[in-house]
Amino acid sequence: MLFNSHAFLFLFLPLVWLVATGLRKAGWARVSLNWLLLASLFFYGWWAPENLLLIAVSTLANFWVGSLLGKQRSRWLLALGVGGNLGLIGHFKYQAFFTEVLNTLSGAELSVVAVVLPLGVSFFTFIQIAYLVDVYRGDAPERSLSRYALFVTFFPHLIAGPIVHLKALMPEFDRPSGRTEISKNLSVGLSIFAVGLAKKVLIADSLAPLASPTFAAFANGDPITSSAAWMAALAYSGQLYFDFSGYSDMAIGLARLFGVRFPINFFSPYKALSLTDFWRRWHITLSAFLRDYLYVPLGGNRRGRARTYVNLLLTMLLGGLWHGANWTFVLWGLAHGVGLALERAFGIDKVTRYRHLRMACTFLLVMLGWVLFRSATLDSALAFYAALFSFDPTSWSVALVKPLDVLLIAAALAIAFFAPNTSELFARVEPGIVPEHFELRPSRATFQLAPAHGIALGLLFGLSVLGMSRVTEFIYFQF
Amino acid sequence: MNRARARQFLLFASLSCVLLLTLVGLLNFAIDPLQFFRQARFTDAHFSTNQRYQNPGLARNFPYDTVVIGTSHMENFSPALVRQALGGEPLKLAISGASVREQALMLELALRNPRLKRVVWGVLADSFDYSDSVVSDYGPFPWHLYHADFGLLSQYLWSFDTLKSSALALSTPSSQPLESLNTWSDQGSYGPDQVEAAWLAMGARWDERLYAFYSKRVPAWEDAKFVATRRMVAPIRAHPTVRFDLVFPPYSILEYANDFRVHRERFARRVLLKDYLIKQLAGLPNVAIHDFETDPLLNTDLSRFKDLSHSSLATTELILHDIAAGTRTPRDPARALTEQLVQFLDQRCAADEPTRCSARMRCGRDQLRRWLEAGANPQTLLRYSNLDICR
Repeated sequence: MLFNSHAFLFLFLPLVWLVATGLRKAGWARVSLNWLLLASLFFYGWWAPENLLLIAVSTLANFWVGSLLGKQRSRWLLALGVGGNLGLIGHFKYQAFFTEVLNTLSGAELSVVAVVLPLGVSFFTFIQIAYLVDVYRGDAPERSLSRYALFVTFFPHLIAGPIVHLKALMPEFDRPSGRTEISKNLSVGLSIFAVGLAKKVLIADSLAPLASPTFAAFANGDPITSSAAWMAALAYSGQLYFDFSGYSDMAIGLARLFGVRFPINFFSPYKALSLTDFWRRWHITLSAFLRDYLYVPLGGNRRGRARTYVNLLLTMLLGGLWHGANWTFVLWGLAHGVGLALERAFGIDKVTRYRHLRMACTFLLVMLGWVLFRSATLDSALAFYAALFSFDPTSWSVALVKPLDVLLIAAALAIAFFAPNTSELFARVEPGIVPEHFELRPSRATFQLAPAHGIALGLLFGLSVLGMSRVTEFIYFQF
Repeated sequence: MNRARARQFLLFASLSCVLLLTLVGLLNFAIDPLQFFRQARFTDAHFSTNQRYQNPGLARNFPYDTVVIGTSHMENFSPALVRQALGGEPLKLAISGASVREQALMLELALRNPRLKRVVWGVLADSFDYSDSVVSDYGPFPWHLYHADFGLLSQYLWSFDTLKSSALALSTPSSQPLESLNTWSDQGSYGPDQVEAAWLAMGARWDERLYAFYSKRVPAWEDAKFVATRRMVAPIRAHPTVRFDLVFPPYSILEYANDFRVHRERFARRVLLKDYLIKQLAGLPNVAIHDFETDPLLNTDLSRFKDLSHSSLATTELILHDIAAGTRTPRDPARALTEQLVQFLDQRCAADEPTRCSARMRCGRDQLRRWLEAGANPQTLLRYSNLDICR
């Protein structure tokens, strides 16, 4: 069940919300949480019921290890728990990749076992690794299995994040919810959801046909002009941002319907002034995870310059690999790691002048990175880069470029560059848990519980529903 | 921020959303561009060329007692031609590139019409390459139009795509009559040059990719047989009062040579599938099987084809004539087609021209020859069809 499917919007969500809210209003908060757990498992099992066993075993095992860690802070136990999670993700996601690497390096002929990647495995594995590490570091373990299971499987974040932490999430379920809170959460949650849905359905899905055929053509080895390559690269940059940030907004809005505030995941990443700044704004919860559970334990910037650069490279390389078992992702992560290290080495991230130029340069670098990210193979990525920077004048012909396509890409990127982001739009109503370094200043456009805003958001939601006739999958599902 | 303001906000948001969806839904229902609920009433009848979407409306709301089911190879079976040859009141429900599952879904809809007497069903081996799946080349399969469920409201009536079609129906006169919908016999030219060009267009550089792609995708033979039983044999057996004309249309002989470029067992599966269907269905009183595939006068006459497999209007007329006459009963089709292919490959591979005859084609031919020499028993054909050893 996708968030942008009719079955989810008009059957699953209303039913789950009505029952959960009804139970809560009746004073049965615990039953309400169990109902949410049941609904989340149903949501997950909708795609592939056999995966329920996997997530159940993973949840039970981590709950058990967490309980033991709460009693005895054993490094070996932590290693066992983290290793188990990495083993799970390794088997499903990386087994084929590493077997092929091993075969290539050693000349062996180890067979690749065909396994289907369970949805959201990267996300529910990571939040549980974070949980075990947090407990090892001194946080109290969750005593209730059903509450722990809800933390892992709560359907708004289960498939594609944001990556949440138990100590931040569970208190949200315990916040008081009188009638006023319920009405407010419903209004705010639906509004944030509507904005996310519009970003996904109206913008990202409109950009997809401008990018996908060109990337497919490169994958097939077909010749493509420079102008077509630039159009596709720009369109994909817009598509990926609106797709994933739209999904995150929907997740935040859905959680809010149940009175739960999620951490925000995007904060206008294309307004970033450097790559360092970009990673503060893009997939914020993953960046924070990599920082807290990988970069800092590796030594962070505390062990000298050279070691800092190595740590940056390693963190970003593994971050790239997290996105997919393919050399394109490894190189994409590595490229960003090199970029971050260079910025740090030359102090570029500290420069305060040339704001617009830096923003444009950062976007250009990020866009070039997306080419690698989206390409099926390294060969097709290289061909794409060759087309982007071709010296052949005929390749730059714009005869085949449709003005309407240019307009669509320009409009989408203009929104990404200049419009307020979702957190800013909802600054008055605590849209989610926003990192302290982002300042939310309400403006005239900021959301209010006013009739005019209600009409606008109702129409936006309606228009998005009309655009949903072709259900497409979220790009981040494969991760 | 108080509760009253939140409630007022929700009221305005809900009203605006419901109003928008109701207006669009009503307009789309009234115009009904796919003619799903009724034949066009307020506008000219427009027909979408996306058959997966258009055909359910045709099956539900247009008069017929004979239907044509199949893939692009049946698209030239226009109602006028079928009427002329077979009589009755025909309707074409072919879907380009349809999997056998999609054809069965189409048939299921047509069988709900109590007037249905006759089904002309074109059988194509490719249709079984998708296991029991629907085909997604055109986006998600429109299940709601086949099962008329909740999706009908949400995906057909609440849809920008439908709204665009409604606007088109309101603003433009109809340009395509139902009689000639999706026929292509007048498009492109026919002849050996076109067929050889199509062969080259498949391209030598594509051979390995195609082979690798299909080798991964194509289901095991036992699975294909299961799908054939479930989606073709079972519905035919379940409707003894409806006459089924199963047509194996003619392809150019190069289509079979191309099998060696596509998948190691493709030719064998094609032959075995036909053999299996004939064994399952030939004895049924409501089934007539018409085999045009093994006629060398058709499959080696490249002037009849525009590419490897799509034949001319004259060929369609010949097929319809012979269906009416009932003169195309299959006779040992596995051996007949294999002999024709081996003979053709002997000629084609005589000169050392890799673009005309690859090493894998030679190797495949030699294996087929051994199979013929061993008695041409269909049970053993798969054993002689592993092209992986030819590389």
